[in-house]
Amino acid sequence: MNFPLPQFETPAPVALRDRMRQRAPEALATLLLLVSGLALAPLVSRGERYVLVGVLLAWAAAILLLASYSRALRRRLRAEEADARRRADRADELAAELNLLIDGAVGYAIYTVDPLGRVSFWNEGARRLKGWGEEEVLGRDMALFYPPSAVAAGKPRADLDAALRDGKFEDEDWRLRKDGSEFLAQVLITPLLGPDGRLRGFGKVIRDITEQRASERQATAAANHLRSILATVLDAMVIIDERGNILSFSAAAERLFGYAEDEVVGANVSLLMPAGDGARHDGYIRHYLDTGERRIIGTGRTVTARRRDGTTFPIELSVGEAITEGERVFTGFIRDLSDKQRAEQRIEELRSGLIHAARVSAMGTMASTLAHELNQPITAVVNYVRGVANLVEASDAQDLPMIREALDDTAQEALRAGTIVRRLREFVARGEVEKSVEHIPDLVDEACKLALIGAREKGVAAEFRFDPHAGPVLVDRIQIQQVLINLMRNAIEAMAEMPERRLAISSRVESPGFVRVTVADTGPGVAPAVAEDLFRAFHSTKADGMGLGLSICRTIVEANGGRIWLEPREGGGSCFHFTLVHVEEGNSP
Amino acid sequence: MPSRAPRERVLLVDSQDESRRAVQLLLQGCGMEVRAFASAAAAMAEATLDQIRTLLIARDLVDGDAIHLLRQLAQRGWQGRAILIGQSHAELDDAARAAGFAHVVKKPVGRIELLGALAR
Repeated sequence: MNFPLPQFETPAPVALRDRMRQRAPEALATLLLLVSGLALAPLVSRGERYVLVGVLLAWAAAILLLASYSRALRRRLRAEEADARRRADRADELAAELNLLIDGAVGYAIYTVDPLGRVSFWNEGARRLKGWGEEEVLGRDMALFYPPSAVAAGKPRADLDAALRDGKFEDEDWRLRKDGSEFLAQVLITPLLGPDGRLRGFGKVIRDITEQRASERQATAAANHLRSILATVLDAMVIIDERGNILSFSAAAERLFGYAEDEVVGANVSLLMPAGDGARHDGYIRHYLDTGERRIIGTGRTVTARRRDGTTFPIELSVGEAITEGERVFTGFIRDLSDKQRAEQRIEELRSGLIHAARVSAMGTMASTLAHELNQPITAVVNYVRGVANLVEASDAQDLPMIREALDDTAQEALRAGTIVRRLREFVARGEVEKSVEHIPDLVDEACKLALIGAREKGVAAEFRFDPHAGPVLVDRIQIQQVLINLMRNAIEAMAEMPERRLAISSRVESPGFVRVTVADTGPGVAPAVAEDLFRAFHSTKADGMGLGLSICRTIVEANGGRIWLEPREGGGSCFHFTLVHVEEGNSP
Repeated sequence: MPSRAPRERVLLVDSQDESRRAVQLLLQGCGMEVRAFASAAAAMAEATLDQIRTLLIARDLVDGDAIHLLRQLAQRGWQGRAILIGQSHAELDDAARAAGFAHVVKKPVGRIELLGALAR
C-alpha cells in the first residue's frame, strides 16, 4: 500500500495593500533617513554633502535589503512550520492506518522486540493468536512464547542471532499460547536497523499453520495409501479425467501395458486401445457427459486393449466414477483375460479330447461285441450267396423265387452290416456341437442299436415307455446318443450278476421347456457315498474303469442345456435321469 | 455459503513433545479441533472443557499421570470418552478402566489405530 507523501503548498498571492502594509516599516525608516539627510545637508560643505548623500543612500539600500531578507526568512520559517505540522499530522495518520492494518491482519501475530528480546510492540493479531494482551507482554522476554524444551535449548536467542546474521530468520516451530496449548507456527524474524545501522530491535510475524500442515499430512497420508494400493492391487487401475487424459497409472497397469506411469500421465487413454476403439473413446465420454447415459460405468465389460508393443489382448474392464471438489474422474479396473481365455481354451480342448478318448475307449470295449454282431450278417450274406450260387448252378427255373428271396435277404443283411459300421463311424467321429430337433424315440432307437448289442444274450430285457407329450428336443444327436449308450451299457454291466435284468428307457415332460429321459436298471444300485461323486471325472466304481463315462455324460448334457442326476430305483437298482431342452413343433431354429 | 459444522474438540495431554505434536497434527488432519497440552496442570486450566467430548492422555505426564488427571477432570464435571496413550496395550489395566479409560493406543500412535479407537 502506497501512501501519498505530503507536499509543500504554494503560497497564496498576497494583496497589494497587504504587501504595502508589510513594507511600511522599511519605507518609513528609509524616509526618516532621507529626511535626516535633508536636514543635515545645509550644515555641511558641498563636498561633505555628496558624501552624506552617498552614505544615506547606502543606508537606505541596506535597510531595504535587510527588510526584504527578513521577510523572506519569515516566510520560509512559516512555510517550514506549516510543512512540519502537516508532516506530523500525516505521520500520525499513517501510524494509525498502519496500526489498523497490522491489527486487522487476521491470523498473523505481528510484534517487535528490542535487541534483548523484550517485547516492545504487540498488535491485536498477536493477542488473538497467542492470548496475551498488550499490557501483559510489553517488556517481557519473548522466550515466554517458546515451549520449555526450546527455551532450555536456547532457541529464543539463537533465533534472533540467526536473523541478525542472515538478515532474516524463517522457521516452522511450535509455540505456546497463553493457556499453555501449543500450535505450529510459521515464524519470520527481521532485524530492525536504524539509519545509522544501529540495531533497534526485531520485527516478528507469526502465523498458526497447524491446520494447514495437518491437512497436508493427511492428504499425503491418503495419497500414500492410495499409491500403496495402486502399487499392490493385482488388477491394473487407470484413472482418467473428463477429457480422457490419464491421471494415474498403477504398477499393475505398468506391467500389463508396458508403459511407465510417467510416460502416460497426461496422455489420452485411447493410447491403451486399438485404433478404432481409441478414436471413438472421446465420443463415448462426451456422450455420457451430455446425456448421463451409462453404458459401461458401474458395470464390467470384456473389451480389447493394446500394449505398448502394439499387440492386443482381451481385458475385463470395470469403470467407476467419482466427483471430488467438482472434478470428475473415471477409474478403470482392468483384468487381463489372456490367461483366462487360454485356460478356458485348454480346458475345452481337454474336455473335447476326453470325450473323444471316451468314445474311442467305448468303441474298443465294444469292438469284440461288434465283431460278433457284424459277423452275423456277413456270415448270413456268405451263406446266402453260396446257396444262391448252388441254385444258379442247378439252373432250375423253379428255384428262381427262392434265389430272389435269398438275394433280398442278402441285401438286407449287407445293409444291416453297413448301418452298424456307419453308426460306429458317426459315433467315433469327433465333431462340434450341432444341435438339431430330434424325437426321443428316434434317439433311443438308434442308440439301442449299438448299446444293446449282445444284451439279449446276457439276458437283459429292454423296455421303452415314451410320453407322447414329451415332444421333440433340441440336441446334438450324436452326443445325446453317446449319453444314452453310456448309460445303457453301464446298466447292462451293473445287472450282470443280478437275477433280474431289466433295462427301462423312458421319457416324460419335466418342468416347462424340458423333457426328462430316464435309464433305469435293476442292478445293485449306487451307494449314497459314491453317488455324490459319481459324475466327477476319474471317479469309477468299476475295477477297470477310468471314471470318465458319467463325467462326460454330465458335460454333454450340460452342454446341451440340461442336467443329469441319479436316484435309487424303487425296488432296487438305479435311475439315471437327464433333461433336454424341449422345443415345440415348428419352432425349430 | 453453508455454515461449517462444529468440529469435534479433543483434549490431548502428553508431556512428550514429539508424540503430542504428531497426534495433534494427525487429529487436526482428520478435521478435529485439538487442544494440546504438555502437562496435567495446563490441561486442568482448560476453559472449554464443557465443549470437549474426547480425551487423549498419555499414561505418564511430567506433573502426574493419566489416571489422576482423568479423575480430576471428572470431578470438574467432564463427561465423555477417554483414550489412554501408552507404551503397551497392557497399560489399559483395571485401574485405568476404573478411572474411565475405554481404549488404549500405543506409542508411537499410528493413524489407523488412533482412528480405530476414535471410531469405536
